[in-house]
Amino acid sequence: MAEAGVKLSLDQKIQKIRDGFEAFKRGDLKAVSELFTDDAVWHGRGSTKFGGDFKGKDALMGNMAQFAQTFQDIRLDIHDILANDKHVVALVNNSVTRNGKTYADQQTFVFHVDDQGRTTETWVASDTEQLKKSLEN
Amino acid sequence: MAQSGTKLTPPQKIEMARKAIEAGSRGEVNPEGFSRDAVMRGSLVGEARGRDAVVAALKKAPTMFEEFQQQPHAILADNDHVVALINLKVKSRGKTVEAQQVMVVHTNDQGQVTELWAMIEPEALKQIQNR
Repeated sequence: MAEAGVKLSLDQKIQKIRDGFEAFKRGDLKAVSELFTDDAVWHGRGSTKFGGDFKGKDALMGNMAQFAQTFQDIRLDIHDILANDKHVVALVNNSVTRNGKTYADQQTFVFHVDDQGRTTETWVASDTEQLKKSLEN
Repeated sequence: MAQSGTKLTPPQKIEMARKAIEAGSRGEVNPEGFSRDAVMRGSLVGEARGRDAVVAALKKAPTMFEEFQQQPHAILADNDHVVALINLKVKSRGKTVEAQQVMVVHTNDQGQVTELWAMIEPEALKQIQNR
């Protein structure tokens, strides 16, 4: 964690987001939570229970924990990450398994980040409603 | 358009994308900005394969509405991709829907689009489609 007042470079911000995905993949939600500000907002995709707005770190981490418990073999492979001063965008090849069926999808995570690389807002965009199908089955 | 063999920098790609989005909002699309085998997948217009089909799909989008505005919030680029975060506003049958749109563009070294995804948040898309 950078000290307050230290402005991270774009590469450092990208690395923090990469670290966050790695922490999620190994189930270290505590490490993931440290990447968000207390008042961070998560805008989930679609009309599933994971869609909608989750306001505050506790709410968004709760949503994330539920996602991790709902699916098996969650794969989040980063295809590319781009950044500017205020945003980090991760292009992710995603797949999840539920009830023996695997659903693959491409997702774009848009992170609004502060100077210390902490995420204040996240938007998740996807090109399909695969997640909804997986929950309906 | 850069000449063949000229590799564009990310800032040049960002500037090209900004101009292309502004023009696209008016239904103006430069075919030379796309590779011959370009592919597009869009929430509004579905999938299009090949330069002509992609250009036609992009020109079609604004014609589907009484008003169609795409305002770039931020554009990011690296060697392989350009990502545009867009505030989209469409008006149809007197109803206005505002949504966040994400465009992910794969480009070649000359800045030509080889693949384009235009995603709109599903709830807003539903409002647009049910208008």
